Amino acid sequence: MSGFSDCNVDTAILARARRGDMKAHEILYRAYGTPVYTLAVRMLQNPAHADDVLQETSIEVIRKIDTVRDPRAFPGWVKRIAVNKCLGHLRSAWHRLAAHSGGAEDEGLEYRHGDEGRDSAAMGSDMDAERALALLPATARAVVWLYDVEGYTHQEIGEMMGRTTSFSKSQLSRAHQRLRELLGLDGEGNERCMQTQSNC
Amino acid sequence: MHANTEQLLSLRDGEPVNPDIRDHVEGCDPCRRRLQELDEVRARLRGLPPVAPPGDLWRTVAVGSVERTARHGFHWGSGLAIAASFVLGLALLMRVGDQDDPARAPLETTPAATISGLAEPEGLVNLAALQTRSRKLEALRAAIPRQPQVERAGTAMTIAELEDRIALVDVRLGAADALGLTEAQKHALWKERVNLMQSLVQVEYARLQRPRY
Repeated sequence: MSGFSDCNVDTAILARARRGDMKAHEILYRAYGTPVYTLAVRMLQNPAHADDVLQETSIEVIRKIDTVRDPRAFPGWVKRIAVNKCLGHLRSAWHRLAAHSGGAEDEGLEYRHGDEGRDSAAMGSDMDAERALALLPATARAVVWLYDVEGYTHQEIGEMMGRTTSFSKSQLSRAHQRLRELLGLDGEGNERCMQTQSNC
Repeated sequence: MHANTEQLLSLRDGEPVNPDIRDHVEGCDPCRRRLQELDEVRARLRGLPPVAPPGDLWRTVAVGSVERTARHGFHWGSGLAIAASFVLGLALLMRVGDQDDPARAPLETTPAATISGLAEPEGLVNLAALQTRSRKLEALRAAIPRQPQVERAGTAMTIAELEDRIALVDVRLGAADALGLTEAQKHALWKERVNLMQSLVQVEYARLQRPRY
């Protein structure tokens, strides 16, 4: 589940942060740092970009904290900032260049979390969800993470990406089809489906 | 005809679905199985462990934030332009000087002499003295009339750069504890602030002396 749901902040800390108390900001950072970093790593699959997202998000939090009065709104507010930063990275020329150099446009970036000797030949039932997620096309990966894990609606995702609700739905569908293949669920399901097709 | 992935996802998420599709899935083992798999995949994604950021990233964040604040968020009270009378400012400054440091009290009444009088003497190492000197320079600077006319770009850029550097020092001083600065580092920042303020006041005073065109 999204780590932002545990990102509770104290009213007093928030008030101190609004007054520019950097110690309070550090306490807030300790609360949202891991959820933001996790979001960025999952969406971008690049630790250096995740560092950038966390830093950019934190700076925006520091600069705009005076707009947040209700501590209950803080996790969602930070999450929205972080998501926008991630989407900005996905849209960036640098990211497109990396995607091109790594393969077809908008194809999943190469896996970067250790275990680098493994390649696509390792796809199958033993593949873990993290590796499967990394092999998704970038846009589909972003949509499936935002929808299934972070809890955004298709409408919200479409708006954040500057696209339509239908676009988000189709990307989610595409992501799940690919995930089923990568996780080794597809073959078994198809076989059963064929065997019982007459019942359908 | 089996339900497609998009339809199954709608069912999984409780979104409106054609009743025929719903009925089909309820009676179709493969479709029900695929529906369960969609649930399972989501659960596996949600079950991925959190990833902790590098431990030293907060320090980078804090420094980055103060640098950006210095670049974008600092203004020298533009609404206060020409608000202070130069003569009155000097008079106030001299009174402050008298109270703070009687031994150095008799400041000259011309700006040049005042700036000179505020120059850092040899061996000045006391933090409180640096802070006092910084305040005096602030007061002197506030007393200099603002220049409403168009001025030379080079002068404006010099002033802007000095203001930015002072702002950066200020924000660092404000975040000194969070940044874990030592006393020596704080002292160095105050010293830098005094030097920058002195340069700024000198540039602004020199600007007043130039013939307008």
